[in-house]
Amino acid sequence: MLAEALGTGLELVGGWLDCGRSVARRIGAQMVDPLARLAGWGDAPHAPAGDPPAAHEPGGGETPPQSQVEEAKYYLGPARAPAARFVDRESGELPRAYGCDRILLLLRDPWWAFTYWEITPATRVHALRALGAEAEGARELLRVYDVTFITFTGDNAWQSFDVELPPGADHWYLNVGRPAASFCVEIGLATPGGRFLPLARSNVVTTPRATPSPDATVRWVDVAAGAVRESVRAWEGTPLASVASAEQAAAEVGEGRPRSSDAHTPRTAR
Amino acid sequence: MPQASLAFVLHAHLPFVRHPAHEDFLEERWLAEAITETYIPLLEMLGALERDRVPARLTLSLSPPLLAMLADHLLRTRYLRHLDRLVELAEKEERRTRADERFHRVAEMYLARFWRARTIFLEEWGQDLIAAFRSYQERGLLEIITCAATHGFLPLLGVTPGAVRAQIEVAVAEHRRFFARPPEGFWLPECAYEPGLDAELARVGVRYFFVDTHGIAHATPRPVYGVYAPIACDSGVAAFGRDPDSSKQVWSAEEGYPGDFWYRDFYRDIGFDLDYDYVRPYLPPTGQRILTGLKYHRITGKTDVKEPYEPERARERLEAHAAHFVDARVHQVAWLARAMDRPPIIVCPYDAELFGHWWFEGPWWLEAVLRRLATTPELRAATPGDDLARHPTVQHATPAASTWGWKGYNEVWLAGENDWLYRHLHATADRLHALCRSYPSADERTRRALTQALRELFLAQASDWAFMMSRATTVEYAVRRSLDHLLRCQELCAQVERGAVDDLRLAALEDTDNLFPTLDYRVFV
Repeated sequence: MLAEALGTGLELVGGWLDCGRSVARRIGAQMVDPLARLAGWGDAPHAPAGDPPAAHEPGGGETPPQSQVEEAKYYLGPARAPAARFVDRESGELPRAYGCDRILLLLRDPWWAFTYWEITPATRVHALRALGAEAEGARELLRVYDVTFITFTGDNAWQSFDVELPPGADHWYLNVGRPAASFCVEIGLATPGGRFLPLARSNVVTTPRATPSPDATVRWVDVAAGAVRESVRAWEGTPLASVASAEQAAAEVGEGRPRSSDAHTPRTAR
Repeated sequence: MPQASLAFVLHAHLPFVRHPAHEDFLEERWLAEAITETYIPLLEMLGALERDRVPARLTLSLSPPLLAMLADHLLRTRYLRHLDRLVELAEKEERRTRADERFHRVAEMYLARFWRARTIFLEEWGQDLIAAFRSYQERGLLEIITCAATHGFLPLLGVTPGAVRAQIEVAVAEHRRFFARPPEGFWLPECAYEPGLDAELARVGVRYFFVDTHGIAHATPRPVYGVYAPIACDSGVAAFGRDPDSSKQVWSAEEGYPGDFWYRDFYRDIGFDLDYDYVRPYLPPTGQRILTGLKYHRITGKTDVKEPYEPERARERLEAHAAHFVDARVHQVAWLARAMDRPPIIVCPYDAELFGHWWFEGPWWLEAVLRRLATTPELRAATPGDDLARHPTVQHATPAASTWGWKGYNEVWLAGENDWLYRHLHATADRLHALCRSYPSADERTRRALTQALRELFLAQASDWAFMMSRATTVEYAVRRSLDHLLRCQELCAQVERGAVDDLRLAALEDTDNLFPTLDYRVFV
């Protein structure tokens, strides 16, 4: 654990250089009413802030056939009838706000997280009052903290980076840029003088590893029904690298494969 | 050499779609098509294997919404009506195509197939397909497992206390209700795992679940056998990883079997090809052209000019593909045996609806593979439960967070098209959770209102809606369903908060969204 923590500390430096670059790359999010956007009634679909990198793609970059099969479950034909055909639909609208201060962080993949928030007008007013004269020129921003292996107290993060927000933003994609690390985010007001007043703090999320673990500990447990216990089994084998072995095995049976075949492409309107 | 295990895992799921206010609702055809093209052919396959005493073992996950629909009286009646129309259309087609033998034999194939489906559904099983699957479980061919209550994408629901637990507990309760035994295994919706979920599964007595290949490959510590043996999480629940080779052979766009030129084409359908007035009685009330299920062409190649389907040639191809698949597994386990000191298990999970619905010949391919396995000494068909019973000593490791979706993580379910949803899902769940906690006991009317509110929340949480939004399929319907269930849940919460439950409205919602009849809101406290 200690060794891993130390390793993580060293990796941080490189990781945060990458983060800095990605922050510079980030562009402002266009704000579109989420309720209008959801049914395509609004403007162009909202583009997540920044330029998402190609995530690790176990299934390849194109829409994999597996997604096509799942889509095919719902494919009845290309034309869609108008919404009027629902007589049992609800007529109301979802609230635009829920009236409490909250910021949440959700994991997207080893490099990206998504955050959304709501800050009530009362909290904003209160915060601006608290800033007094400094409130002049204060901007809303997100401060993202690396809290890997830390119980975060507000000032003990390994590192942090800021995301400036355009007016009215209520969600953002964050390029945290580092697998196997923990993050949390605050939304707050930054004054021209450099002061940061947090308005709300999120939950912590931990990005998954994107490579095999360096931890080669081998411990066995007995999971026979009803009881889980340590097993004393000794093991002196050679670890199998799952993916490499799979590819090698595939290469060995390469002969006699079916010939290349046509893949269906769903004709859904895109 | 000890026998290696081959575990086919079929995940059968459809979102709950039931619109009693509509006489004929388009999206209810999802269920009808899946029954005719996948579930009944799978039952036929199991029947044939049993009759011939083939020692087959399969794992089948039947999701709670699918079970609810298969058990529903109205949807059964509607399915039968749908099937009767299909038989009628196939009879007309048999007459229409008599002049052209190439198409006539395909029309005859469909007519026979639909009649057989009708016999199996109505006469063999008295409209109760759940009983059919249950009986194959009791006779040892199947291991039936469960999935989350409404196929919620659990890692994105966990911010509300109790939300994940409720999805899991209700699924297990439904499974017990239908199968009179607890599920040994659990299909995490979309294979979406994050560390800690296993502890929730352990609470309800689940012994294993599945993750995609990289969930095991990136586990901590590094698993010594890769995906070819399970690992045990801190909670003692075992995780089985998807074998990349066998999944590629079925799924891959380049090498996958379902794309073979001799197999039947999915999209070319008489609903689009024939004269409008002729097919009009078999189209939805809106009159839009849709797939009818009668398709006469084979994939042919990368062309729009499709050749007629030839069932005999397709049979030959699927036999060849089954032989290839088993042969590839034999080579694979021979290679693995050199590196492993326990027999490997090859886990092959697929969407059940791949077989028959998308890949028309899929159920026959599966049957052919299972028949070959029975005569292949190196391999045996097994379930993960069988493997754990034979090899209970498992390496301790925690899988990495992962899904089996596009790019391997959460991006399909958390993207620009659907990210707006989570704000409402979380706020609504939090509100209902607080409300449920404030009623340790409740009068009958409040109990019913809170319970219905929970049904609505569950329905809104289905991962299917987010999937459809991001894959641009039936987006409007997916958005509508998300909004409707969130609005219904919020409305019921407001009524309980005000102490003014509207009896008529409550009864109407109970009648429409009628899944989980034994649900009690106290599961969400």
